[in-house]
Amino acid sequence: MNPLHLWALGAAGVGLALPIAIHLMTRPRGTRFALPTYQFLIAAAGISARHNRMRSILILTARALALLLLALGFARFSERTRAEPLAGGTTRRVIVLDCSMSMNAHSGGNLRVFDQARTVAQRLVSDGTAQEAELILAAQTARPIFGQTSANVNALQEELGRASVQPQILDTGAALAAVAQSLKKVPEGDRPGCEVVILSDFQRTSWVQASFTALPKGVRVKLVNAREAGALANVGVASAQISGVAEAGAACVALAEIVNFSASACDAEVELAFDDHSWTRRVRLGAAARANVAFELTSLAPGWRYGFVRVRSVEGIRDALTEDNSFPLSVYVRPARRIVLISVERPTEVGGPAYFLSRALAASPDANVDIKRIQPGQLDGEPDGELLKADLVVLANCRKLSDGQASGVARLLARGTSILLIANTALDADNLRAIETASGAALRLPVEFVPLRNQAATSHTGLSALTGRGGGDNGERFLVSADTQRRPFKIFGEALPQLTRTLRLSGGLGSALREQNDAANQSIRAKYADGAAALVVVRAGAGRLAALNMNVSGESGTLAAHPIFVPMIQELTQELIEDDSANRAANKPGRPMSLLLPASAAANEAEEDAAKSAARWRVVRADGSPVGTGAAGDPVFKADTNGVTLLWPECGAPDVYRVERSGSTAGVFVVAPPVPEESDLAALETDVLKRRIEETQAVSVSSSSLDDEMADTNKEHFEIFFLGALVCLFLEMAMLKAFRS
Amino acid sequence: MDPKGAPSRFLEPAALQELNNLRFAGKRIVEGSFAGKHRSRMRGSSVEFAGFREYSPGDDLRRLDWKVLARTKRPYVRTYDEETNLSCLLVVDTSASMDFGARRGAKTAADKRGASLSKLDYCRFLVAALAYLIVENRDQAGLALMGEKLDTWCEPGSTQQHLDKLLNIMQRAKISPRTRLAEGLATLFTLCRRRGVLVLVSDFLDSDVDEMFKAIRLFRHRRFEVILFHLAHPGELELPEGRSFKFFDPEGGGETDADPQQVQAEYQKAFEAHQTRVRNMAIGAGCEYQFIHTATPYPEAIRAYLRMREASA
Repeated sequence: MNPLHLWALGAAGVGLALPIAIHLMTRPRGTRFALPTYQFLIAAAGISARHNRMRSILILTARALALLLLALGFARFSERTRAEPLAGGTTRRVIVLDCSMSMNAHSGGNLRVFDQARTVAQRLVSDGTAQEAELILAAQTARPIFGQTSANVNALQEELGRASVQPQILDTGAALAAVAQSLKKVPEGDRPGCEVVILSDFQRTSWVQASFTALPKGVRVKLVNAREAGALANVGVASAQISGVAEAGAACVALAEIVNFSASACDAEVELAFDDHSWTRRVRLGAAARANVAFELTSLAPGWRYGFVRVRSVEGIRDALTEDNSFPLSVYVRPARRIVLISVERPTEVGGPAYFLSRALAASPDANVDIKRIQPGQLDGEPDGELLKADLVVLANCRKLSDGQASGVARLLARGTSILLIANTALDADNLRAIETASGAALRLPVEFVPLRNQAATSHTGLSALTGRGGGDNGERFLVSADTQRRPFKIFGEALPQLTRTLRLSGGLGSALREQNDAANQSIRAKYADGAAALVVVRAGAGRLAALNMNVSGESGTLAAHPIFVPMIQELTQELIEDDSANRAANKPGRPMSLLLPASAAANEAEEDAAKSAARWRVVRADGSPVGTGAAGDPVFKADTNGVTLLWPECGAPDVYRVERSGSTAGVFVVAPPVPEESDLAALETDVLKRRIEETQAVSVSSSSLDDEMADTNKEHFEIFFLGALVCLFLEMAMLKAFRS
Repeated sequence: MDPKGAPSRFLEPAALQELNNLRFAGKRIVEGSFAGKHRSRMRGSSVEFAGFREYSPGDDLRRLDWKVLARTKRPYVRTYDEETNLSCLLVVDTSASMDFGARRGAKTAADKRGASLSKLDYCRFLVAALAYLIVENRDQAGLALMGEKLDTWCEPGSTQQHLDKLLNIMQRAKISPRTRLAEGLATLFTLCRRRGVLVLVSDFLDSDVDEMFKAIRLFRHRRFEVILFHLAHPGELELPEGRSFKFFDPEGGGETDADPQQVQAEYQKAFEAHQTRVRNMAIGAGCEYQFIHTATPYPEAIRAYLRMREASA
């Protein structure tokens, strides 16, 4: 019996006494009448005193039974009130309670799966069948209460009472490792008396790859499915992001992906609440289908902007889980595109790479572009203000960079400033190597750029020059492949081959592939006919580095005069300056995250004491409430020479978080809900898990459903009780009819 | 006897006045101890000449008709029909079922006639009147009260004092919890020394009517004239009005809840079946049967019966 329902048992007692009282009070009380011809009356009515007594007894029994069944139904009485003690001497029980987000789903009886699991856990803790118990609250991280089994049942009950669902995924490995840790000190001989009870919804996405090898051998494992049988439907927002470069005056699009995790089609109303505005769309979702919803955002004011995509209503299915109906998103809207062009060319010099690039960079159709030209020498030492505020640094015709200058470029990359390097000469190949060296592990180009054979190899690294020129005999080179699914060639689409047919390129570098893998393939966006990489885009630190292996001067080739030049540079620029830190949605609740704050925001931090600097920072939610109370797991700020980094060992709930420095917003990031990991509510059969455990581990496994474990909260039992009560009432009516009373 | 001097409340002067011209006589020749108005089956020296027969040794010489002897030279003795008195046994059923129908405040038969009287009270009036008629005719009246057994037995007598005694016994008659007339009648049979008339007044709600008639047949075998007065109260013929009653058997047969409206028809059928059965068994046993509704004033019931009896004699 669940102690929570003791009151109901009292009610059952009263309920049992009630029908007797009613029966006694309402039984026919006719006027007593002495009738000498009583025998004729009996013969006439066909009844007898015995029948009369039988009638009373049967009716009373039916009434009492009806009310008793009703009371039992409400009391959720369990016939397994007194559980059998665990066999095997000393009994220890470790209960793993799944606290992941999917446990918040509402099952058929409108009860949360978690509440049902917790009720079972409370009974398992206190039913007296185990001498010692341990509770592990499992989500992204597993939190054992004691670290080992304990007889302090009251503390476990209190913890159970405080336990709540975390908006996190379930890390089954961490949970099972915690189980192993809890039973580590148990002697091997006592393990038959140990039982591990896993209370979960056994969501397929969480448990399908669970490894049970960590479980100690010899223990018994019990899998209790806390969810009622039957599939649960769910609709959630899988992702939401701002597509395009968010710049003042430029339009961008908010894209949301809505997923229907059910086997039935439905209609959903999706709302984007963004920057004090809201837009609503209705979307039809097929069974187990996804749909993209786009919201065009225009006239966004400069600065950090954020909002939420929400599924406001769902028609056609019952949305069991509402926690995944909201997805945060944020974006930084630039007031203007700030580009620093580093070149040895003078601004007045015409025809050089910097000349053509500056015009291509400034040719944005809708953004304000502010291009500053500096000399490579300004890269020495700490980056100045122009460099720190730049959205993009372009290196074109820089000649040979010194190590200090290369380190300066590396620092910019580490801080999140993207670099576009025009690789044309052997010096540029050297510069790339120098930047790569200065960046360390943060930058790894998939290819090694080397001078072509006819170029002067000023600082070869031992790699042989590539044979051939990759083109015609006159030194022309042709693009033979380009990734049209990605920038900068995506906008050309199917027309790209036709466009590049007339493109005559010359100069540039050869390249040698360092390793063949998917990352390398994705980084190389275009190739020449000789196999050399024409464009490589890689992530480096918080920024990105693009190496455009082309001669963009007007002296050779037709690139600068070709129609693809300006749009290609614009697209490449957009990709490089696109601030995807807020859209990456990589921050998940419970997981660690680090965020290098924008270089511009941390401009002066390096000059100050790190501790003082960090003290000025704080994280607040979208509603303004601060995050963290100084406890372990709260976000911390770490200042170093690269700037200020936000470290959060365990991200909080899905939301938009603002990073404030002395009251002003220095950055915004989002923590996204664990979709689709926790949204797909399809469950794995416990029997499947049971077989898997038995195959891999020498443990005894049993599985049971909620119906078995928690009969007192079992809807079916309640229905049986209710039906039984109805049958009894009908029986009573039939008896009343039969006895003519 | 002067009706005005009736010692009992069961002898009502008005009723007796109505019965003054009636005579309760036996249909058959009776066997009495005293001379009376009834023909005796014993022939002897009595008032009414019956005929002659030849003298046989042992005959009383005083009955020898000397004139016939003188004329015919042959000895003849005179024979006479001996006139004797009627011995009537009044048997009253005092079982609990006979107590049905009493209403508070009903002191006399004239007061709320019939329906307000219990069957036993009605029976008292009826038997008192019969006893009066019997004694008035210088016949003998005996009284037996029986329920489970023979409770009271008073041998027949014909004096005024005897009548008073009978009335007194009847007045003090106690209710017996059960009806078992068979046993009482059998006992009574052993106590009767003379044949006569047995008048049994009862509702015949006996648990074993067959046994009762077996006992009655004993009397019939002994040439008793048996008259059965079957009393029925209006409250028995029709169940009370209303829907909720807990009926119980006054003789301890149980109790039950019943809706009179639902069982009325079947009940009446069962009652009539019982009445028919008693009547048939009475006729079969050679008894006279008279069904008396207690709503009928008892003088009227007696008068009707006696006239019918006279007519059929």
